[in-house]
Amino acid sequence: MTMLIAYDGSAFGVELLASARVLASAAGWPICVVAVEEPGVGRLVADDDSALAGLELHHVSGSAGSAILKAAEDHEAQIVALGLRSDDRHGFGHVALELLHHADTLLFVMRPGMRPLTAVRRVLVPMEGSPSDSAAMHVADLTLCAPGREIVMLHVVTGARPLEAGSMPAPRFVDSAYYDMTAWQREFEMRFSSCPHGRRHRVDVRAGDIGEVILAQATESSADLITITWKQSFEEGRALTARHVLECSPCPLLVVGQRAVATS
Amino acid sequence: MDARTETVDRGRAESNPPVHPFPEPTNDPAWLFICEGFDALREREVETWLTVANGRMGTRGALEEGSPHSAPLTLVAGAYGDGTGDPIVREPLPAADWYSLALRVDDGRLDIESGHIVVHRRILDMSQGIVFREWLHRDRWGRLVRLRTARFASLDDRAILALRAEARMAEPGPALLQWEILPKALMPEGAALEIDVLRMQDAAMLIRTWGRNGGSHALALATYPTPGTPFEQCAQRLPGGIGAHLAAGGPAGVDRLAAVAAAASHDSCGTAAKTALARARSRGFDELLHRHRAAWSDCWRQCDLRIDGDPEAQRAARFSVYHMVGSADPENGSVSVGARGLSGMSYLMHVFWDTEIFVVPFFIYSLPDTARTLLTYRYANLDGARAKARHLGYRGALFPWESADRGTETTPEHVIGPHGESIPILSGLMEHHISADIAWATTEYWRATGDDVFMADMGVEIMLETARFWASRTELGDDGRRHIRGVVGPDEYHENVSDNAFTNRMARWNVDHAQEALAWLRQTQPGRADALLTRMGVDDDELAEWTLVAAGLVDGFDPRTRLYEQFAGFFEMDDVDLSRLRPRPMSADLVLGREVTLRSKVVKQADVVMLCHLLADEIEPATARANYDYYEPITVHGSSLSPGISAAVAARQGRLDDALECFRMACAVDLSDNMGNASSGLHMATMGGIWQAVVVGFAGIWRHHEMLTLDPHLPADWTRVAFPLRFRGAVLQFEIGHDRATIDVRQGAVTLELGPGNEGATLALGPGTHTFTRGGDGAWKKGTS
Repeated sequence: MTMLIAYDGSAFGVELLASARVLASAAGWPICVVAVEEPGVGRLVADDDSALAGLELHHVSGSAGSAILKAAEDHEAQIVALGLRSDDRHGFGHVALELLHHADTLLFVMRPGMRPLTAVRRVLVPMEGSPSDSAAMHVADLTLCAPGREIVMLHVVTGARPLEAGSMPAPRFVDSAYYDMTAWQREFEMRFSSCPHGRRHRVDVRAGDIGEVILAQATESSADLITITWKQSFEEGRALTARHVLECSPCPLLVVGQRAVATS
Repeated sequence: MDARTETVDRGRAESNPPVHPFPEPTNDPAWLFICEGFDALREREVETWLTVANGRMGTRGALEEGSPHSAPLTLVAGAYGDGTGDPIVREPLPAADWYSLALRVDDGRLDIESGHIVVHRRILDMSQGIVFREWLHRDRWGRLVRLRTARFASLDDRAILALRAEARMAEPGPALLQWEILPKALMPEGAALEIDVLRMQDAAMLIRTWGRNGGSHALALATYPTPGTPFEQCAQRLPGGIGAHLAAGGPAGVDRLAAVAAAASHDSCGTAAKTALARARSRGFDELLHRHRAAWSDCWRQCDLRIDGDPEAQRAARFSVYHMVGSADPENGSVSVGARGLSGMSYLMHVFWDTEIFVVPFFIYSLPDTARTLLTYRYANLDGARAKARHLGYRGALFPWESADRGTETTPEHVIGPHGESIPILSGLMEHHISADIAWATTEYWRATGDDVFMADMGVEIMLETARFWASRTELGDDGRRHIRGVVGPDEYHENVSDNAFTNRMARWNVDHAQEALAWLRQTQPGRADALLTRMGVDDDELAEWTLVAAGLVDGFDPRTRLYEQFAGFFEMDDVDLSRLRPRPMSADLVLGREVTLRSKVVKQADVVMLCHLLADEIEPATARANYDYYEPITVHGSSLSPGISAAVAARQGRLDDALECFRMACAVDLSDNMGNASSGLHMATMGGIWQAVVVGFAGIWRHHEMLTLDPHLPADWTRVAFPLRFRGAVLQFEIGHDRATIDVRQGAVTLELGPGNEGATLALGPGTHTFTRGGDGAWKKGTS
């Protein structure tokens, strides 16, 4: 699994680069770095950029989004690291939007102001409790589960009931909490986590607005990384939670899009 | 000649008798519960559904060869040991996976997660009480193998479990098929202190398990080639295995028989298990199967619940009856029905009020001998109930909220939270209505069966001891009335409340009916009555005090509004935005948070509505309607116990939309495919609620004093409901339609009261078929048969 880092030489780009290297190191992924020369902009990254010590830089040209996607394909990267910069209209820059919608790789994303990733100690995985929403947990299990790291499966109780067969949201019947919640948490973990090392993960159950709860939990628990499943569409009324978390997360995110799931 | 060749030659040379036929599921799909494919995500749910049980043992429907996604479990009723958690509570002592068998094809072990599944289907045939498995699999080496199994927990000989497995190559070419027959013995952990495995002759084994602080069981098992199969022992290749080279088409069959015996003490049960296994072996799989089928056939004749016009309702109803029958042992008064039956570890096989209020009614009216046995369990544990009452400073019998093998309180006093904090559990300390619930079931059994022997031997004592508890449990308030403070009612969202209407009203009922039962005993068997009172130390002064207590006990009823206040202060609690708690069912405390729920007018489960259901003999229909109107909208059915009873009450009141909504909610508790509730065990109380909803609610048959009432309200899609009932010695078969009903009195006689429009008219029905039709005014009239 190769990580491709989209680097622009800016101060924030340096932060992104450092955080992405921490993640790649934690997961054992090799890294390649690309810098995009957009038409009329020129080269932004010098070959001797000190932040790139030990890394090989590849220059690509064209529209940034397309160029990064092409580079990911050329380098057989399964994860792309990029920075999110909002504009007033969409909340995301056009490059980020293109990748969020069309990448068939995992995305490691950061915004200016987020806590940089200095170590992977605690990973928060929000889950609605449906099979199709558990892709992020699968990625976390496969790539991030290791001694000394805590992966927390966060389920936010909303009253919503996924229709998908095999779903298991928070129990709607709790006869005796001390039996039913224990049994539910055990089953939730067995159902949606399949750690190849056989490790068990904590299931945290909270109530409230999903996006707000995820952000609050990430803040309170000092999560290093949030891993989310993402349906790759911002069409009206969809992905409000994902958008909110992408816009306001206190820490970087690992975004597991449905195209990446299909590709893998 | 190597071992393999030797096996080939001998296998082909022998002239084998015809292979015994493999059992088949029934052709009627209404009896089949089919699980197609294999879904690792849902495997534990499937295993729960496919439990085979006979009241003495229950085995989840795990794959014979095992799976990492499995939660295999065989529970032995009544076998517990002390757990090792904090706090220590009695926990089940599981038995080894007696059904464990794996097929080796040449040198590869057949595994459902490698290769390609062509067909994988598991079928619970409820009519026969057998779980079938059909599996056609192309293994990773490209070989196509067909495997099938059939397993059951004998309803005829409850010590016996049996499995037949058969494999064959589905494409031409010989192969060595071998069954690995060694079950994985459990490691001693949790409640199991020690496990030993004894190899016996003929590849038989005895696995004995001892629990911590008492409790034990023994499992004896044997595996041998199915008679007629071209197999033999091939110890050279696989110690303890059974196998042979087989050409395509040749069935490779093995039979596994197991026998279980349990004891409450540290006794060795090995002899009993070995004796039972010898009995099973002498009969052989086919004879055991024949007897087992006959036992289920006889059972279904007494308790089938048929719903025409709604296949999903039919499926849920039969599924409920099947599992209720499998959860209760009519021959052993030292065990009862756990909250999850014998289908999962959740609730630790502990017995709650679920049994007496939800499950026992089914048995009273279908299999009354079993109901009697379940009540015997409570009688046998009266000492534990007396001890609990004493411990809390009361008299009489306060039954434990959770009961196991000793009748003592088994509810943990606290649990350790996710952050290491100690969270108190109040139900064991405060949910006292269980004593009245058991008294209610005792009286319901007596009224419905006329079993005076039980009542004289056990029932009256249960009634008196529970009445004595209530008399000591009340307090005289400043208002001169009696109060019961510091309880938890059925609505467990509100803890440590005072004058819970359900508790107080049931307590009063308990005291009143204890006096009635005593009066009956004094009249019919005065010597026994005197002896019982002397043994208990009850004198006339105490009895008079009970009468005063019952008369003075507040119940929160307002005759002006006809409403019972659920507990003191309930009406003053905060209203809650109900839209946040829809669609139901909903766990309000999860959504709103515990603190908000505690101070809100939101109800977890039928509480006052349940009261109206249980005491329908005494609470006027108008009162029941008023309370349903008030409480049902604020009830979130956040307990699996709730929707079945609400469905029954709504149907009795003719509110069919509500009734169907609640009924479907109840059916979904275990069977919905997007909730996962069933993965750790079936909800026995829900199943009892489903039965009550159909029979008491929709079919409108309920007991009124010593009569049955007929007042059906069938949903539009239901064309007919049919079921047998036992009532006061009579054997009855009901067929209820929208406008026509028949009652076939097959034995004895019954008094029937027709529903509204008949001014309480009663009819004495003797043997024969009696037909009733609904007139244009909606009233039912007796017609000609």
